Amino acid sequence: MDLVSIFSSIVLVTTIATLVLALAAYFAYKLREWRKPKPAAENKTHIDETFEPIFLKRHMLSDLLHDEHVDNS
Amino acid sequence: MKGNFRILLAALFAVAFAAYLLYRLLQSWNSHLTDFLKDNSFVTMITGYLTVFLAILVIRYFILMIFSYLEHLDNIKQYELERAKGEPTPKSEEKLPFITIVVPAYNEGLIIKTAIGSLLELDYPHYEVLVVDDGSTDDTYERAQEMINTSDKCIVTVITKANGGKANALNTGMAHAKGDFILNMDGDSRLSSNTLRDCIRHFDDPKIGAVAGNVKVANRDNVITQVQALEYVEGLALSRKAQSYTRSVNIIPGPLGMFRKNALWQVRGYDDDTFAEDCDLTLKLLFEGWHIVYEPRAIAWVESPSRMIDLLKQRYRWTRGILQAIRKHSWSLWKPHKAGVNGYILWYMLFEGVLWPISNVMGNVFFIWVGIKYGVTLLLAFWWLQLSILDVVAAAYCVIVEKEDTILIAYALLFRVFYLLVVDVAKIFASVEELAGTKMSWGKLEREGKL
Repeated sequence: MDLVSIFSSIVLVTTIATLVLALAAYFAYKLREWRKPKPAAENKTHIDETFEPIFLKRHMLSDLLHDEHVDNS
Repeated sequence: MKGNFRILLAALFAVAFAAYLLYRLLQSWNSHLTDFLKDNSFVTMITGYLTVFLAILVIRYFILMIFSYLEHLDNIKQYELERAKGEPTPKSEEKLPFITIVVPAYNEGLIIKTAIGSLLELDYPHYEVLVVDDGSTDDTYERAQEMINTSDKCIVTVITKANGGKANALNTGMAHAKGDFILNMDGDSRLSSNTLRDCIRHFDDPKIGAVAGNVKVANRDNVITQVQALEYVEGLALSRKAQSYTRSVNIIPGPLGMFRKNALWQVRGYDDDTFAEDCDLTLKLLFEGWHIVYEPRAIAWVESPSRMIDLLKQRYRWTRGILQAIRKHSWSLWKPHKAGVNGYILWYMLFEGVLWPISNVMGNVFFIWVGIKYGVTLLLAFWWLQLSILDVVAAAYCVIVEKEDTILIAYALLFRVFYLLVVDVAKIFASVEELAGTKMSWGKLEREGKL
């Protein structure tokens, strides 16, 4: 086998292995996400049509001070 | 220095050897292969498309390198002018504007104290640190509170609120900020001490609405994080520097971005309807006509995912978030006369986010198929070799300009063989799921506290 054939074969095998790894890693990730328990706090960040959007609302200092605890003592 | 020289020499040798291989591959291109392509119109068509894609990639790299080099020269000139002014005087220091650093934190208990501690060491006379605890379920709030009154240099304020997501936390910080300039960062980032001073100078120009910082990987302790370190230098920093030349950086990174407060108010802060709030905000600023530049000397060190699954989680979110942000401004894709340069920015983002991963994966799958079915492995070797030469050359250029660790150049080969294909497969699935409207969650990375 000459240099070109050896090189081409190595690239072929490596690329196949990486592609298989890529698919396996992605499905492993999806499986883990699917099986992971959803914490209550995280559910709030789901993009959901029923979720009332809080963006495009101005967060005014006076409003925020009413419902948050500020500490800089 | 000697080690760096050896690595550079090794990189040069690698490129020379790759060029020799390419020459041998071209020699192997015989009449048999030409006949094979002639007889298989499908193979010829796809090969033709991939060749065009390859040419676009080469042109893209070339343009990015030219623009980033011009920006680099501009920066050098600017730094020399600053040096000529001499050391800052108490009077000049007094004139510097007040800056608010907003640190959103959700379950960052492991690292929040270190993060705040590093902020107290910044080289700037007037600033405050505002930590927004976004309803953490761990001890982030308590740990952050421990940092109050630990420094005479600046005030540390800690706010706690119900969990509402990062965008909401940043908006809360914006509403409480006392400064006219706001630096937004991630709770898990560490800033270089010169960050505030180097970013604020850009705002002398009233058209500048924001400054994007330079993000670097701090935890370079395995192959995955080393390759990401290269990607941040070669992919992200190179692009931002080139875009900065036209003052239209398209993503102000979450770990480090400084904003004019008026500009943030004008676009009503961060929206909560995408998973890439930093990209979305940047586009909103650009569409309002603000100029956005990049400051390479302002560095944010971040902890990058050290496991493959965590990396995929991050890239999956980035891809879907960027697509969501593009969709919000999609009208400009079809009305370039109204959108101006912003329309082209969106097309560029679509190319990088969708077309590039699809073409890369398609190229590999197609050439594997040709190799197995017809026994013609030469096309895959051509494809891989040309992209690898491009990667090594681009990596060498970026590493030299950024004065980065030269060992990163060696990772350019792994970048192409193992890394990019894995990430691109995840990007394609993310794009498909975004189109299909599949539900997703934020997917916070688990920190190892290595900063």
